[in-house]
Amino acid sequence: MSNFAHSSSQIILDLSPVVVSLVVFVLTYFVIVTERINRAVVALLGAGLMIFTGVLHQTEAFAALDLNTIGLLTGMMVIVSLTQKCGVFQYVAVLAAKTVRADPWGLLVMLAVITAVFSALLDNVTTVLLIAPVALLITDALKLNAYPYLFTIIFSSNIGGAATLIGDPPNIMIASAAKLDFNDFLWNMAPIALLIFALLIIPLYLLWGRKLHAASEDRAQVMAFNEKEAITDPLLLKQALFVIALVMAGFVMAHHLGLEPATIAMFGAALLLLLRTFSLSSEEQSHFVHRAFGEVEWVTIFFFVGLFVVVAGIEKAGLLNMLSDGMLKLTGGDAKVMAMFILWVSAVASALVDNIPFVATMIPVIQDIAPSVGENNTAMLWWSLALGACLGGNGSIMGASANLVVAGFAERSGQPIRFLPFFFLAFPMMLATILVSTLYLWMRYM
Amino acid sequence: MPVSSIPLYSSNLCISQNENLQHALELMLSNEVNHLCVCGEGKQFIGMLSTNAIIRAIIPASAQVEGGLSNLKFVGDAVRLLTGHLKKLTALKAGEFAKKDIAVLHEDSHILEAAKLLASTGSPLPVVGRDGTLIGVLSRRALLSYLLKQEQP
Repeated sequence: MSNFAHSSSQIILDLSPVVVSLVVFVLTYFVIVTERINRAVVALLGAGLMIFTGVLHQTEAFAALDLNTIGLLTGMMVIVSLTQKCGVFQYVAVLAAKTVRADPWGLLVMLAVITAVFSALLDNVTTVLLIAPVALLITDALKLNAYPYLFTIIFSSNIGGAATLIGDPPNIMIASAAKLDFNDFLWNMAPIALLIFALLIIPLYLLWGRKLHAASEDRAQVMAFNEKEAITDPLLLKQALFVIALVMAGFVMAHHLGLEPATIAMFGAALLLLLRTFSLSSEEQSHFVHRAFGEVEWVTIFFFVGLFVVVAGIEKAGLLNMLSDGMLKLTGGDAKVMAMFILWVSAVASALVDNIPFVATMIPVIQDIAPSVGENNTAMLWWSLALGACLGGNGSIMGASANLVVAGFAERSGQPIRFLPFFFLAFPMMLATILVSTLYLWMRYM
Repeated sequence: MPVSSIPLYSSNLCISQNENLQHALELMLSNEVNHLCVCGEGKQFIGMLSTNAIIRAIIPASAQVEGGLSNLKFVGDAVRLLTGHLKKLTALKAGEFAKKDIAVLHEDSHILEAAKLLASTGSPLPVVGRDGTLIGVLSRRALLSYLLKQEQP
Protein backbone atom coordinates (compact mmCIF):
# COMPACT_ATOMS: atom_id res chain seq x y z
CA MET A 1 0.00 0.00 0.00
CA SER A 2 1.18 3.51 -0.70
CA ASN A 3 1.90 6.41 1.55
CA PHE A 4 -0.32 9.38 0.86
CA ALA A 5 1.37 12.03 2.96
CA HIS A 6 1.67 14.48 0.06
CA SER A 7 -1.64 14.80 -1.67
CA SER A 8 -2.86 17.65 -3.75
CA SER A 9 -6.37 16.61 -4.88
CA GLN A 10 -9.44 18.82 -4.35
CA ILE A 11 -12.45 17.17 -2.66
CA ILE A 12 -15.78 17.66 -4.39
CA LEU A 13 -17.92 20.51 -2.93
CA ASP A 14 -15.25 20.95 -0.24
CA LEU A 15 -16.75 18.04 1.69
CA SER A 16 -14.78 16.15 4.30
CA PRO A 17 -12.59 13.52 2.60
CA VAL A 18 -13.43 11.14 5.45
CA VAL A 19 -17.16 11.43 4.74
CA VAL A 20 -16.80 11.19 0.95
CA SER A 21 -14.42 8.23 1.05
CA LEU A 22 -16.58 6.48 3.66
CA VAL A 23 -19.69 6.88 1.51
CA VAL A 24 -17.90 5.56 -1.60
CA PHE A 25 -16.34 2.70 0.38
CA VAL A 26 -19.57 1.61 2.11
CA LEU A 27 -21.55 1.92 -1.11
CA THR A 28 -18.97 -0.12 -3.04
CA TYR A 29 -18.74 -2.88 -0.44
CA PHE A 30 -22.52 -2.96 0.03
CA VAL A 31 -23.14 -3.48 -3.69
CA ILE A 32 -20.38 -6.12 -3.82
CA VAL A 33 -22.05 -8.01 -0.96
CA THR A 34 -25.50 -7.89 -2.57
CA GLU A 35 -24.00 -9.48 -5.72
CA ARG A 36 -26.54 -7.63 -7.86
CA ILE A 37 -23.83 -6.17 -10.09
CA ASN A 38 -20.61 -7.87 -11.16
CA ARG A 39 -18.05 -7.31 -8.42
CA ALA A 40 -15.32 -6.17 -10.81
CA VAL A 41 -17.61 -3.53 -12.28
CA VAL A 42 -18.58 -2.31 -8.80
CA ALA A 43 -14.96 -2.14 -7.60
CA LEU A 44 -13.87 -0.23 -10.72
CA LEU A 45 -16.79 2.19 -10.36
CA GLY A 46 -15.87 2.69 -6.70
CA ALA A 47 -12.29 3.33 -7.73
CA GLY A 48 -13.44 5.87 -10.31
CA LEU A 49 -15.59 7.63 -7.71
CA MET A 50 -12.62 7.88 -5.34
CA ILE A 51 -10.77 9.74 -8.11
CA PHE A 52 -13.67 11.83 -9.48
CA THR A 53 -14.69 13.03 -6.02
CA GLY A 54 -11.12 14.16 -5.42
CA VAL A 55 -10.38 11.78 -2.55
CA LEU A 56 -7.49 10.41 -4.58
CA HIS A 57 -5.42 11.90 -7.37
CA GLN A 58 -5.17 9.48 -10.27
CA THR A 59 -1.41 9.20 -9.87
CA GLU A 60 -2.06 8.07 -6.30
CA ALA A 61 -4.62 5.58 -7.62
CA PHE A 62 -2.07 4.14 -10.06
CA ALA A 63 0.52 3.95 -7.29
CA ALA A 64 -1.95 2.04 -5.12
CA LEU A 65 -2.13 -0.87 -7.59
CA ASP A 66 -0.21 -3.80 -6.15
CA LEU A 67 1.40 -5.15 -9.29
CA ASN A 68 2.96 -8.01 -7.36
CA THR A 69 -0.46 -9.40 -6.42
CA ILE A 70 -1.88 -8.75 -9.89
CA GLY A 71 1.16 -10.22 -11.65
CA LEU A 72 1.26 -13.31 -9.46
CA LEU A 73 -2.44 -14.00 -9.93
CA THR A 74 -2.30 -13.46 -13.69
CA GLY A 75 0.85 -15.55 -14.18
CA MET A 76 -0.52 -18.46 -12.16
CA MET A 77 -3.86 -18.26 -13.95
CA VAL A 78 -2.12 -18.67 -17.33
CA ILE A 79 -0.06 -21.61 -16.06
CA VAL A 80 -3.08 -23.33 -14.51
CA SER A 81 -5.39 -22.74 -17.49
CA LEU A 82 -2.86 -24.41 -19.78
CA THR A 83 -2.03 -27.23 -17.34
CA GLN A 84 -5.62 -28.23 -16.68
CA LYS A 85 -6.11 -29.16 -20.33
CA CYS A 86 -3.78 -32.16 -20.08
CA GLY A 87 -6.14 -34.01 -17.70
CA VAL A 88 -3.65 -34.36 -14.86
CA PHE A 89 -6.29 -33.57 -12.21
CA GLN A 90 -8.58 -36.33 -13.46
CA TYR A 91 -5.60 -38.69 -13.67
CA VAL A 92 -4.64 -38.07 -10.04
CA ALA A 93 -8.24 -38.30 -8.79
CA VAL A 94 -8.86 -41.63 -10.54
CA LEU A 95 -5.49 -42.98 -9.44
CA ALA A 96 -6.30 -41.94 -5.87
CA ALA A 97 -9.67 -43.73 -6.03
CA LYS A 98 -8.00 -46.88 -7.34
CA THR A 99 -5.23 -46.70 -4.75
CA VAL A 100 -7.86 -47.18 -2.02
CA ARG A 101 -9.58 -49.86 -4.14
CA ALA A 102 -12.61 -47.55 -4.52
CA ASP A 103 -13.42 -47.87 -0.83
CA PRO A 104 -15.90 -45.02 -0.09
CA TRP A 105 -14.18 -43.77 3.08
CA GLY A 106 -10.72 -44.15 1.55
CA LEU A 107 -11.96 -42.23 -1.48
CA LEU A 108 -13.18 -39.40 0.72
CA VAL A 109 -9.80 -39.15 2.45
CA MET A 110 -7.91 -39.34 -0.83
CA LEU A 111 -10.05 -36.64 -2.43
CA ALA A 112 -9.45 -34.49 0.64
CA VAL A 113 -5.67 -35.00 0.35
CA ILE A 114 -5.40 -34.28 -3.36
CA THR A 115 -7.71 -31.26 -3.11
CA ALA A 116 -5.64 -29.84 -0.25
CA VAL A 117 -2.33 -30.43 -2.05
CA PHE A 118 -3.51 -28.98 -5.36
CA SER A 119 -5.10 -26.03 -3.56
CA ALA A 120 -1.84 -25.31 -1.80
CA LEU A 121 0.12 -25.34 -5.05
CA LEU A 122 -2.44 -23.86 -7.42
CA ASP A 123 -5.52 -21.78 -6.82
CA ASN A 124 -8.56 -23.13 -4.99
CA VAL A 125 -11.11 -22.36 -7.67
CA THR A 126 -9.25 -24.22 -10.41
CA THR A 127 -8.65 -27.15 -8.10
CA VAL A 128 -12.29 -27.63 -7.17
CA LEU A 129 -13.36 -26.88 -10.73
CA LEU A 130 -11.40 -29.94 -11.85
CA ILE A 131 -11.76 -32.25 -8.84
CA ALA A 132 -15.51 -31.82 -8.20
CA PRO A 133 -16.68 -33.30 -11.55
CA VAL A 134 -14.45 -36.37 -11.09
CA ALA A 135 -15.74 -36.77 -7.53
CA LEU A 136 -19.31 -36.58 -8.85
CA LEU A 137 -18.56 -39.20 -11.49
CA ILE A 138 -16.90 -41.63 -9.07
CA THR A 139 -19.63 -41.26 -6.42
CA ASP A 140 -22.18 -41.76 -9.19
CA ALA A 141 -20.48 -44.99 -10.24
CA LEU A 142 -20.32 -46.12 -6.58
CA LYS A 143 -24.00 -45.14 -6.06
CA LEU A 144 -22.99 -42.87 -3.16
CA ASN A 145 -24.45 -39.58 -2.00
CA ALA A 146 -22.04 -36.94 -3.35
CA TYR A 147 -22.68 -34.46 -0.53
CA PRO A 148 -20.01 -35.70 1.94
CA TYR A 149 -17.44 -35.65 -0.85
CA LEU A 150 -18.33 -32.16 -2.04
CA PHE A 151 -18.34 -30.89 1.55
CA THR A 152 -14.90 -32.42 2.05
CA ILE A 153 -13.59 -30.88 -1.17
CA ILE A 154 -14.73 -27.42 -0.02
CA PHE A 155 -13.07 -27.72 3.39
CA SER A 156 -9.90 -29.25 2.01
CA SER A 157 -9.49 -26.57 -0.64
CA ASN A 158 -9.74 -23.73 1.88
CA ILE A 159 -7.43 -25.44 4.37
CA GLY A 160 -4.92 -26.38 1.65
CA GLY A 161 -5.08 -22.88 0.22
CA ALA A 162 -4.18 -21.43 3.62
CA ALA A 163 -0.90 -23.36 3.66
CA THR A 164 1.07 -21.45 1.04
CA LEU A 165 1.65 -17.98 -0.31
CA ILE A 166 0.04 -18.88 -3.63
CA GLY A 167 -2.80 -21.03 -2.23
CA ASP A 168 -5.38 -18.32 -1.65
CA PRO A 169 -5.67 -14.70 -2.87
CA PRO A 170 -5.67 -13.27 0.71
CA ASN A 171 -2.26 -14.88 1.25
CA ILE A 172 -0.96 -13.36 -1.98
CA MET A 173 -2.15 -9.91 -0.88
CA ILE A 174 -0.72 -10.29 2.62
CA ALA A 175 2.62 -11.58 1.34
CA SER A 176 2.97 -8.70 -1.06
CA ALA A 177 2.04 -6.02 1.47
CA ALA A 178 4.02 -7.48 4.37
CA LYS A 179 7.03 -8.54 2.26
CA LEU A 180 6.64 -12.13 3.36
CA ASP A 181 8.05 -14.80 1.04
CA PHE A 182 7.00 -18.30 0.04
CA ASN A 183 9.15 -19.89 2.74
CA ASP A 184 7.66 -17.65 5.45
CA PHE A 185 4.26 -19.05 4.59
CA LEU A 186 5.57 -22.62 4.41
CA TRP A 187 7.21 -22.22 7.82
CA ASN A 188 4.32 -20.47 9.55
CA MET A 189 1.11 -21.45 7.76
CA ALA A 190 1.78 -24.95 6.41
CA PRO A 191 2.19 -26.62 9.85
CA ILE A 192 -1.13 -25.34 11.17
CA ALA A 193 -2.86 -26.09 7.86
CA LEU A 194 -1.50 -29.64 8.04
CA LEU A 195 -2.64 -30.05 11.64
CA ILE A 196 -6.13 -28.72 10.92
CA PHE A 197 -6.37 -30.93 7.85
CA ALA A 198 -5.45 -33.99 9.91
CA LEU A 199 -8.00 -33.04 12.57
CA LEU A 200 -10.66 -32.52 9.90
CA ILE A 201 -10.63 -36.25 9.19
CA ILE A 202 -12.12 -36.95 12.66
CA PRO A 203 -15.46 -35.12 12.23
CA LEU A 204 -15.67 -36.35 8.64
CA TYR A 205 -15.37 -39.92 9.86
CA LEU A 206 -17.88 -39.40 12.66
CA LEU A 207 -20.33 -37.69 10.32
CA TRP A 208 -20.10 -39.94 7.31
CA GLY A 209 -17.14 -42.33 7.41
CA ARG A 210 -18.95 -45.18 9.13
CA LYS A 211 -22.01 -44.96 6.91
CA LEU A 212 -20.36 -45.01 3.49
CA HIS A 213 -20.75 -48.32 1.71
CA ALA A 214 -20.51 -49.36 -1.92
CA ALA A 215 -21.35 -52.67 -3.61
CA SER A 216 -18.36 -54.68 -4.73
CA GLU A 217 -19.65 -54.65 -8.33
CA ASP A 218 -19.75 -50.83 -8.28
CA ARG A 219 -16.27 -50.69 -6.79
CA ALA A 220 -15.08 -53.04 -9.52
CA GLN A 221 -16.47 -50.62 -12.06
CA VAL A 222 -14.35 -47.78 -10.66
CA MET A 223 -11.34 -50.08 -10.47
CA ALA A 224 -11.81 -50.62 -14.23
CA PHE A 225 -11.33 -46.90 -14.92
CA ASN A 226 -8.14 -46.35 -16.87
CA GLU A 227 -6.49 -43.24 -15.42
CA LYS A 228 -3.97 -43.12 -18.26
CA GLU A 229 -6.81 -42.34 -20.65
CA ALA A 230 -7.48 -39.19 -18.63
CA ILE A 231 -4.24 -37.69 -19.93
CA THR A 232 -5.27 -36.00 -23.13
CA ASP A 233 -1.90 -34.45 -23.99
CA PRO A 234 1.21 -36.22 -22.58
CA LEU A 235 3.56 -33.57 -24.03
CA LEU A 236 1.63 -30.77 -22.35
CA LEU A 237 1.71 -32.74 -19.10
CA LYS A 238 5.52 -32.96 -19.24
CA GLN A 239 5.91 -29.30 -20.17
CA ALA A 240 3.47 -28.15 -17.48
CA LEU A 241 5.07 -30.28 -14.76
CA PHE A 242 8.50 -28.96 -15.75
CA VAL A 243 7.35 -25.33 -15.59
CA ILE A 244 5.39 -25.81 -12.34
CA ALA A 245 8.45 -27.45 -10.71
CA LEU A 246 10.58 -24.54 -11.92
CA VAL A 247 8.09 -21.98 -10.60
CA MET A 248 7.85 -23.72 -7.21
CA ALA A 249 11.64 -23.81 -6.96
CA GLY A 250 11.64 -20.13 -7.91
CA PHE A 251 9.16 -19.33 -5.14
CA VAL A 252 11.28 -21.17 -2.58
CA MET A 253 14.45 -19.33 -3.68
CA ALA A 254 12.79 -16.00 -4.47
CA HIS A 255 14.08 -14.32 -1.34
CA HIS A 256 17.71 -15.28 -2.04
CA LEU A 257 17.35 -14.28 -5.67
CA GLY A 258 15.81 -10.94 -4.73
CA LEU A 259 12.79 -11.69 -6.91
CA GLU A 260 9.12 -11.07 -6.30
CA PRO A 261 6.67 -14.00 -6.75
CA ALA A 262 4.95 -12.11 -9.58
CA THR A 263 8.18 -12.08 -11.59
CA ILE A 264 8.53 -15.84 -11.18
CA ALA A 265 4.88 -16.58 -12.04
CA MET A 266 4.96 -14.32 -15.09
CA PHE A 267 8.21 -15.87 -16.30
CA GLY A 268 6.74 -19.36 -15.77
CA ALA A 269 3.63 -18.43 -17.75
CA ALA A 270 5.74 -17.05 -20.61
CA LEU A 271 7.97 -20.12 -20.60
CA LEU A 272 5.02 -22.51 -20.77
CA LEU A 273 3.51 -20.47 -23.59
CA LEU A 274 6.84 -20.62 -25.43
CA LEU A 275 7.07 -24.39 -25.00
CA ARG A 276 3.50 -24.82 -26.24
CA THR A 277 3.81 -22.56 -29.27
CA PHE A 278 7.43 -23.04 -30.32
CA SER A 279 6.63 -25.39 -33.20
CA LEU A 280 3.56 -23.49 -34.41
CA SER A 281 3.34 -21.01 -37.27
CA SER A 282 3.22 -17.35 -36.30
CA GLU A 283 -0.51 -17.23 -37.02
CA GLU A 284 -1.18 -20.33 -34.90
CA GLN A 285 1.05 -18.93 -32.15
CA SER A 286 -0.88 -15.71 -32.12
CA HIS A 287 -4.19 -17.58 -31.95
CA PHE A 288 -2.95 -19.86 -29.16
CA VAL A 289 -1.53 -17.05 -27.02
CA HIS A 290 -4.65 -14.97 -27.54
CA ARG A 291 -6.80 -17.88 -26.33
CA ALA A 292 -4.52 -18.59 -23.37
CA PHE A 293 -4.67 -14.97 -22.20
CA GLY A 294 -8.41 -15.04 -22.76
CA GLU A 295 -8.71 -17.72 -20.09
CA VAL A 296 -7.30 -15.48 -17.37
CA GLU A 297 -10.05 -14.65 -14.87
CA TRP A 298 -10.14 -10.98 -15.73
CA VAL A 299 -13.11 -10.38 -13.45
CA THR A 300 -10.92 -11.28 -10.48
CA ILE A 301 -7.99 -9.22 -11.74
CA PHE A 302 -10.09 -6.10 -12.33
CA PHE A 303 -11.82 -6.67 -9.00
CA PHE A 304 -8.40 -6.44 -7.35
CA VAL A 305 -7.52 -3.33 -9.37
CA GLY A 306 -10.68 -1.56 -8.25
CA LEU A 307 -10.33 -2.68 -4.64
CA PHE A 308 -6.76 -1.44 -4.34
CA VAL A 309 -7.88 2.03 -5.37
CA VAL A 310 -10.99 2.07 -3.15
CA VAL A 311 -8.93 1.00 -0.12
CA ALA A 312 -6.26 3.57 -1.02
CA GLY A 313 -9.01 6.20 -0.95
CA ILE A 314 -10.10 5.45 2.62
CA GLU A 315 -6.48 5.05 3.64
CA LYS A 316 -5.58 8.50 2.35
CA ALA A 317 -8.67 10.08 3.90
CA GLY A 318 -7.52 8.79 7.28
CA LEU A 319 -10.36 6.31 7.84
CA LEU A 320 -8.08 3.32 8.24
CA ASN A 321 -5.95 5.33 10.62
CA MET A 322 -9.03 5.89 12.74
CA LEU A 323 -9.82 2.18 12.53
CA SER A 324 -6.33 1.16 13.64
CA ASP A 325 -6.44 3.71 16.49
CA GLY A 326 -9.77 2.23 17.52
CA MET A 327 -8.30 -1.27 17.44
CA LEU A 328 -5.34 -0.18 19.53
CA LYS A 329 -7.69 1.36 22.11
CA LEU A 330 -10.05 -1.62 22.10
CA THR A 331 -7.22 -4.08 22.69
CA GLY A 332 -5.23 -1.80 24.96
CA GLY A 333 -2.36 -2.02 22.50
CA ASP A 334 -1.81 -5.67 23.49
CA ALA A 335 -0.58 -7.50 20.40
CA LYS A 336 -1.83 -10.87 21.66
CA VAL A 337 -5.38 -9.61 22.15
CA MET A 338 -5.15 -7.87 18.82
CA ALA A 339 -4.07 -11.09 17.09
CA MET A 340 -7.01 -12.96 18.59
CA PHE A 341 -9.34 -10.13 17.61
CA ILE A 342 -8.09 -10.14 14.02
CA LEU A 343 -8.23 -13.94 13.78
CA TRP A 344 -11.81 -14.32 15.01
CA VAL A 345 -13.26 -11.21 13.36
CA SER A 346 -11.68 -12.06 10.01
CA ALA A 347 -12.90 -15.69 10.29
CA VAL A 348 -16.51 -14.70 10.94
CA ALA A 349 -16.40 -11.90 8.35
CA SER A 350 -14.87 -14.19 5.73
CA ALA A 351 -17.56 -16.78 6.34
CA LEU A 352 -20.25 -14.28 5.48
CA VAL A 353 -18.70 -11.98 2.88
CA ASP A 354 -15.93 -12.17 0.30
CA ASN A 355 -12.61 -12.36 2.13
CA ILE A 356 -10.71 -10.40 -0.54
CA PRO A 357 -12.25 -6.95 0.19
CA PHE A 358 -11.96 -7.66 3.91
CA VAL A 359 -8.26 -8.49 3.66
CA ALA A 360 -7.67 -5.53 1.34
CA THR A 361 -9.09 -3.29 4.08
CA MET A 362 -7.27 -4.96 6.95
CA ILE A 363 -3.80 -4.84 5.36
CA PRO A 364 -3.30 -1.07 5.73
CA VAL A 365 -4.82 -1.24 9.23
CA ILE A 366 -2.19 -3.78 10.32
CA GLN A 367 0.52 -1.76 8.55
CA ASP A 368 -0.62 1.24 10.57
CA ILE A 369 -0.56 -0.70 13.82
CA ALA A 370 2.83 -2.32 13.11
CA PRO A 371 5.06 0.41 14.60
CA SER A 372 3.12 0.20 17.90
CA VAL A 373 3.53 -3.55 18.36
CA GLY A 374 7.00 -4.35 17.03
CA GLU A 375 8.23 -6.54 14.16
CA ASN A 376 7.68 -9.97 15.75
CA ASN A 377 4.19 -9.15 16.89
CA THR A 378 3.34 -7.70 13.48
CA ALA A 379 4.18 -11.05 11.90
CA MET A 380 1.76 -12.68 14.34
CA LEU A 381 -0.94 -10.25 13.22
CA TRP A 382 -0.34 -11.16 9.57
CA TRP A 383 -0.65 -14.89 10.33
CA SER A 384 -3.84 -14.19 12.30
CA LEU A 385 -5.30 -12.36 9.33
CA ALA A 386 -4.24 -15.07 6.86
CA LEU A 387 -5.64 -17.89 9.01
CA GLY A 388 -8.89 -16.08 9.74
CA ALA A 389 -9.49 -15.06 6.13
CA CYS A 390 -8.61 -18.42 4.56
CA LEU A 391 -10.21 -20.76 7.11
CA GLY A 392 -13.21 -18.47 7.61
CA GLY A 393 -14.15 -19.21 4.02
CA ASN A 394 -15.33 -22.65 5.20
CA GLY A 395 -18.03 -21.11 7.39
CA SER A 396 -20.72 -20.83 4.73
CA ILE A 397 -21.35 -21.77 1.14
CA MET A 398 -20.77 -18.10 0.24
CA GLY A 399 -17.51 -17.88 2.19
CA ALA A 400 -15.17 -18.51 -0.74
CA SER A 401 -15.30 -18.57 -4.52
CA ALA A 402 -14.31 -22.25 -4.48
CA ASN A 403 -17.36 -23.06 -2.32
CA LEU A 404 -19.63 -21.41 -4.86
CA VAL A 405 -18.01 -23.33 -7.72
CA VAL A 406 -18.66 -26.65 -5.94
CA ALA A 407 -22.21 -25.57 -5.07
CA GLY A 408 -22.76 -24.65 -8.72
CA PHE A 409 -21.68 -28.12 -9.85
CA ALA A 410 -23.83 -29.77 -7.22
CA GLU A 411 -26.85 -27.71 -8.26
CA ARG A 412 -26.40 -28.38 -11.96
CA SER A 413 -26.02 -32.11 -11.37
CA GLY A 414 -29.23 -32.29 -9.35
CA GLN A 415 -27.67 -32.58 -5.88
CA PRO A 416 -27.88 -29.00 -4.57
CA ILE A 417 -25.99 -27.84 -1.49
CA ARG A 418 -28.43 -25.68 0.48
CA PHE A 419 -27.19 -22.63 2.40
CA LEU A 420 -28.60 -23.44 5.86
CA PRO A 421 -27.84 -27.18 6.13
CA PHE A 422 -24.29 -26.44 4.98
CA PHE A 423 -24.00 -23.48 7.35
CA PHE A 424 -25.20 -25.41 10.42
CA LEU A 425 -22.55 -28.05 9.84
CA ALA A 426 -19.73 -25.99 8.34
CA PHE A 427 -19.84 -22.94 10.61
CA PRO A 428 -19.19 -24.83 13.88
CA MET A 429 -16.49 -26.85 12.13
CA MET A 430 -14.93 -23.62 10.88
CA LEU A 431 -15.03 -22.20 14.41
CA ALA A 432 -13.27 -25.34 15.63
CA THR A 433 -10.49 -24.77 13.07
CA ILE A 434 -10.18 -21.18 14.34
CA LEU A 435 -9.96 -22.48 17.89
CA VAL A 436 -7.10 -24.76 16.85
CA SER A 437 -5.50 -21.76 15.10
CA THR A 438 -5.87 -19.75 18.32
CA LEU A 439 -3.96 -22.43 20.24
CA TYR A 440 -1.33 -22.56 17.53
CA LEU A 441 -0.81 -18.79 17.56
CA TRP A 442 -0.74 -18.81 21.35
CA MET A 443 1.82 -21.59 21.60
CA ARG A 444 4.01 -20.44 18.77
CA TYR A 445 4.06 -16.66 18.92
CA MET A 446 2.86 -15.52 22.36
CA MET B 1 -54.75 -25.50 -45.80
CA PRO B 2 -54.85 -26.65 -42.15
CA VAL B 3 -52.56 -29.36 -40.81
CA SER B 4 -55.56 -31.57 -40.09
CA SER B 5 -55.78 -32.23 -43.84
CA ILE B 6 -52.43 -34.05 -43.71
CA PRO B 7 -52.47 -37.73 -42.75
CA LEU B 8 -51.13 -37.57 -39.19
CA TYR B 9 -49.44 -40.23 -37.11
CA SER B 10 -52.18 -41.95 -35.17
CA SER B 11 -53.22 -40.42 -31.88
CA ASN B 12 -53.47 -43.98 -30.60
CA LEU B 13 -49.71 -44.02 -30.26
CA CYS B 14 -49.67 -42.18 -26.97
CA ILE B 15 -49.24 -43.24 -23.39
CA SER B 16 -50.96 -42.35 -20.13
CA GLN B 17 -49.08 -40.03 -17.81
CA ASN B 18 -49.36 -42.65 -15.07
CA GLU B 19 -47.61 -45.39 -17.02
CA ASN B 20 -43.98 -45.90 -16.16
CA LEU B 21 -41.17 -44.93 -18.46
CA GLN B 22 -40.18 -48.56 -18.90
CA HIS B 23 -43.47 -49.24 -20.70
CA ALA B 24 -43.14 -46.05 -22.74
CA LEU B 25 -39.64 -46.97 -23.87
CA GLU B 26 -40.75 -50.47 -24.86
CA LEU B 27 -43.62 -48.95 -26.85
CA MET B 28 -41.24 -46.61 -28.69
CA LEU B 29 -38.82 -49.43 -29.45
CA SER B 30 -41.50 -51.86 -30.68
CA ASN B 31 -43.06 -49.18 -32.89
CA GLU B 32 -39.65 -47.97 -34.06
CA VAL B 33 -40.41 -44.35 -33.19
CA ASN B 34 -38.22 -41.87 -31.34
CA HIS B 35 -41.06 -39.81 -29.87
CA LEU B 36 -44.17 -40.61 -27.91
CA CYS B 37 -46.98 -38.34 -26.73
CA VAL B 38 -48.05 -38.46 -23.09
CA CYS B 39 -51.73 -37.88 -22.39
CA GLY B 40 -53.93 -37.38 -19.38
CA GLU B 41 -57.58 -38.29 -19.02
CA GLY B 42 -59.67 -37.96 -22.19
CA LYS B 43 -56.50 -37.90 -24.31
CA GLN B 44 -55.55 -34.42 -23.06
CA PHE B 45 -52.07 -33.74 -24.39
CA ILE B 46 -49.51 -33.36 -21.58
CA GLY B 47 -46.08 -33.65 -23.12
CA MET B 48 -43.69 -35.62 -25.26
CA LEU B 49 -41.12 -38.33 -24.54
CA SER B 50 -38.11 -38.90 -26.72
CA THR B 51 -35.37 -41.49 -26.91
CA ASN B 52 -32.89 -38.64 -27.15
CA ALA B 53 -34.02 -37.18 -23.82
CA ILE B 54 -33.74 -40.62 -22.22
CA ILE B 55 -30.19 -41.08 -23.52
CA ARG B 56 -29.26 -37.59 -22.30
CA ALA B 57 -30.63 -38.39 -18.85
CA ILE B 58 -28.58 -41.54 -18.42
CA ILE B 59 -25.23 -39.87 -19.19
CA PRO B 60 -23.52 -38.99 -15.87
CA ALA B 61 -24.42 -35.45 -14.77
CA SER B 62 -20.72 -34.77 -14.15
CA ALA B 63 -20.15 -34.98 -17.89
CA GLN B 64 -23.18 -32.95 -18.89
CA VAL B 65 -23.03 -29.91 -16.64
CA GLU B 66 -21.30 -26.73 -17.73
CA GLY B 67 -17.59 -27.04 -16.91
CA GLY B 68 -17.98 -30.80 -16.39
CA LEU B 69 -15.82 -33.62 -17.70
CA SER B 70 -15.16 -33.31 -21.40
CA ASN B 71 -13.00 -36.40 -21.68
CA LEU B 72 -14.67 -39.61 -20.53
CA LYS B 73 -12.34 -42.09 -22.22
CA PHE B 74 -10.87 -43.13 -18.88
CA VAL B 75 -14.27 -44.37 -17.67
CA GLY B 76 -14.42 -47.10 -20.33
CA ASP B 77 -17.79 -48.34 -21.60
CA ALA B 78 -19.45 -47.88 -18.17
CA VAL B 79 -22.34 -50.18 -19.10
CA ARG B 80 -23.11 -50.76 -15.42
CA LEU B 81 -23.24 -47.02 -14.79
CA LEU B 82 -25.54 -46.40 -17.75
CA THR B 83 -27.84 -49.33 -17.04
CA GLY B 84 -28.02 -48.22 -13.40
CA HIS B 85 -29.18 -44.79 -14.49
CA LEU B 86 -31.62 -46.26 -17.01
CA LYS B 87 -33.13 -48.56 -14.39
CA LYS B 88 -33.64 -45.64 -12.02
CA LEU B 89 -35.13 -43.57 -14.82
CA THR B 90 -37.55 -46.19 -16.13
CA ALA B 91 -39.18 -46.39 -12.72
CA LEU B 92 -40.41 -42.81 -13.19
CA LYS B 93 -43.92 -42.06 -14.42
CA ALA B 94 -44.15 -41.00 -18.07
CA GLY B 95 -45.82 -37.74 -16.98
CA GLU B 96 -42.89 -36.89 -14.69
CA PHE B 97 -40.28 -37.26 -17.42
CA ALA B 98 -42.21 -35.92 -20.43
CA LYS B 99 -41.09 -32.60 -21.85
CA LYS B 100 -44.00 -30.25 -21.39
CA ASP B 101 -42.85 -26.92 -22.77
CA ILE B 102 -42.90 -27.92 -26.42
CA ALA B 103 -44.39 -26.39 -29.52
CA VAL B 104 -47.89 -27.67 -30.28
CA LEU B 105 -49.94 -27.34 -33.48
CA HIS B 106 -53.66 -26.82 -33.48
CA GLU B 107 -55.91 -28.60 -35.94
CA ASP B 108 -56.52 -25.33 -37.79
CA SER B 109 -52.83 -24.28 -37.88
CA HIS B 110 -51.59 -23.54 -41.37
CA ILE B 111 -49.18 -25.85 -43.11
CA LEU B 112 -46.58 -23.10 -43.51
CA GLU B 113 -46.62 -22.53 -39.75
CA ALA B 114 -46.25 -26.28 -39.23
CA ALA B 115 -43.29 -26.41 -41.67
CA LYS B 116 -41.61 -23.52 -39.87
CA LEU B 117 -42.06 -25.15 -36.46
CA LEU B 118 -40.86 -28.53 -37.71
CA ALA B 119 -37.76 -26.89 -39.13
CA SER B 120 -36.93 -25.17 -35.83
CA THR B 121 -37.69 -28.03 -33.43
CA GLY B 122 -35.94 -31.35 -33.31
CA SER B 123 -39.03 -33.47 -32.98
CA PRO B 124 -42.39 -34.20 -34.58
CA LEU B 125 -45.22 -31.95 -33.46
CA PRO B 126 -48.36 -32.94 -31.62
CA VAL B 127 -51.58 -31.66 -33.18
CA VAL B 128 -54.32 -30.89 -30.67
CA GLY B 129 -57.96 -29.91 -30.90
CA ARG B 130 -59.51 -26.78 -29.40
CA ASP B 131 -60.09 -28.60 -26.12
CA GLY B 132 -56.46 -29.76 -25.92
CA THR B 133 -57.12 -33.38 -26.88
CA LEU B 134 -54.49 -35.07 -29.00
CA ILE B 135 -55.54 -35.52 -32.61
CA GLY B 136 -52.31 -36.91 -33.99
CA VAL B 137 -48.64 -36.24 -34.56
CA LEU B 138 -47.16 -34.45 -37.55
CA SER B 139 -43.74 -35.66 -38.61
CA ARG B 140 -41.34 -34.18 -41.15
CA ARG B 141 -41.79 -37.14 -43.39
CA ALA B 142 -45.60 -36.88 -43.24
CA LEU B 143 -45.46 -33.22 -44.22
CA LEU B 144 -42.95 -33.76 -47.05
CA SER B 145 -44.85 -36.76 -48.35
CA TYR B 146 -48.03 -34.69 -48.39
CA LEU B 147 -46.36 -31.78 -50.20
CA LEU B 148 -44.73 -34.09 -52.72
CA LYS B 149 -48.10 -35.51 -53.60
CA GLN B 150 -49.51 -32.00 -54.00
CA GLU B 151 -46.86 -31.19 -56.61
CA GLN B 152 -47.66 -34.25 -58.68
CA PRO B 153 -50.05 -33.59 -61.64
